[in-house]
Amino acid sequence: MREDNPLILFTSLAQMGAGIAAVHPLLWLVTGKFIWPGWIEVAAVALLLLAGMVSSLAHLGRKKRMLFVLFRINKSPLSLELLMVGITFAAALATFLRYRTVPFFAWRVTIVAALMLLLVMGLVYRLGGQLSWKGAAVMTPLITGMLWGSVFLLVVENAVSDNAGLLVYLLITIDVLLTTVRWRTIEHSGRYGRPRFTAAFEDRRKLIITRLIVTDLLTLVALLLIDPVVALITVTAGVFMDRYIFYALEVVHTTEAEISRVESFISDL
Amino acid sequence: MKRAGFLIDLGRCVGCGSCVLACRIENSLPIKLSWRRVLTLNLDRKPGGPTYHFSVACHHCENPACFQACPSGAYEIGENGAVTLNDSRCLGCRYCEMACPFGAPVYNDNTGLMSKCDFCSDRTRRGERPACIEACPTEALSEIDENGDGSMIVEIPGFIDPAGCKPFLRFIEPRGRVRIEGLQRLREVLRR
Repeated sequence: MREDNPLILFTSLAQMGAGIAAVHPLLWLVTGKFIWPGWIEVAAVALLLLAGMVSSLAHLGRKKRMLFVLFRINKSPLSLELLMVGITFAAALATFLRYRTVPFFAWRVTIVAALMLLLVMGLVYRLGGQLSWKGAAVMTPLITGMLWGSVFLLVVENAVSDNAGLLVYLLITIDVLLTTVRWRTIEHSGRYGRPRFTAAFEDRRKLIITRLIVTDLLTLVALLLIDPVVALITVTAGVFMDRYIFYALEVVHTTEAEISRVESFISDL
Repeated sequence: MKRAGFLIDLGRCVGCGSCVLACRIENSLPIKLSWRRVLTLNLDRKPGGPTYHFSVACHHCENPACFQACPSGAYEIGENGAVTLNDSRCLGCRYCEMACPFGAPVYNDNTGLMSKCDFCSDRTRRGERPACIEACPTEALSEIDENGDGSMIVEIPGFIDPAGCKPFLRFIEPRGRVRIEGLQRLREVLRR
């Protein structure tokens, strides 16, 4: 898993940063009014995305060539993802720098770019040979990102109404459903492909259940009974854990796995 | 110009691995890296059962997943259809490794770059055959001749194209001991 650690960091931090902005349209639907972002919120978006971008460099074998990605934006989903990270960060930074004047347009751009980023983050991994990264896994960055963003807003923004709490419960519910569907996909893919990390795959039930408990159950309990700050800690741990199991439970198609499947099928005849 | 692609005669391949060794030597690959490997389908799953081997590397697909996925445009498709990697553009992000369903691109820890079979482009430019084909002692591995006798097939049990890449890899069905009829029956059973 060592080679995936930078990707776990990048995707977790990017989800959290983009989630703060991306959740605003839902908040507007739920509360009926556009909630103006506080400067802490805007700074958090920019800082989290910056930290994510810096950590992603550790994954590259040739870091200085990073700008080559600009040449394939219309062709490679990964190029598009990196572009969206850059745009979201730049828009958040512009919002922060012009905060005392008129940052409205820049914040709108941040919201749209953040939503696109969270969608593209799921689509990047929707590859033909990747059996466990399809289906519900595509929507997970969007939902967990918005879940983290909504809990963060509850902690930071006093102006947010009680309806925002309802939004968090709704996102938790969707997250539980999505994770359950992903679990089925992972179980199914294990029959047809080869897990990249066998030891982690053997512990998949424990990992997924722990992820559900930390991200959803503990966060819910903390919100209802304890303190939103504790909820923020649990959901942060949950986001990192979710990204860890995303890579740890990778199941790929290989010709070897296909041959093994055929041989098993023959021996069962 | 012949289209770059490997033809495997399933009745001739004995799984000796000469092609793997020749590839490693020709391309000076480090010890942990291999661009080619030999796979075995044992129909009875026991020694002595009907078995066939096939040697696989990059299939130089008609719709290569690596080429579609690469964010820096490091992959190129040559005039002969060979999919090659331009080292000077590779980021070493390993996205092509995730995208390819056949395990063709491999990461070289020493250089921080991806690497894969390029159909021995240097040799083919000189009019020579790829090193793996040259090394095969049974002539099981050869180049595809599209004007051949039409006995080439695309699908064999255990080899599928899950990502729609259209691998330019062809097989000649085995004759004799591993019976054509057996493979056809197996195909029918698998399709149910």
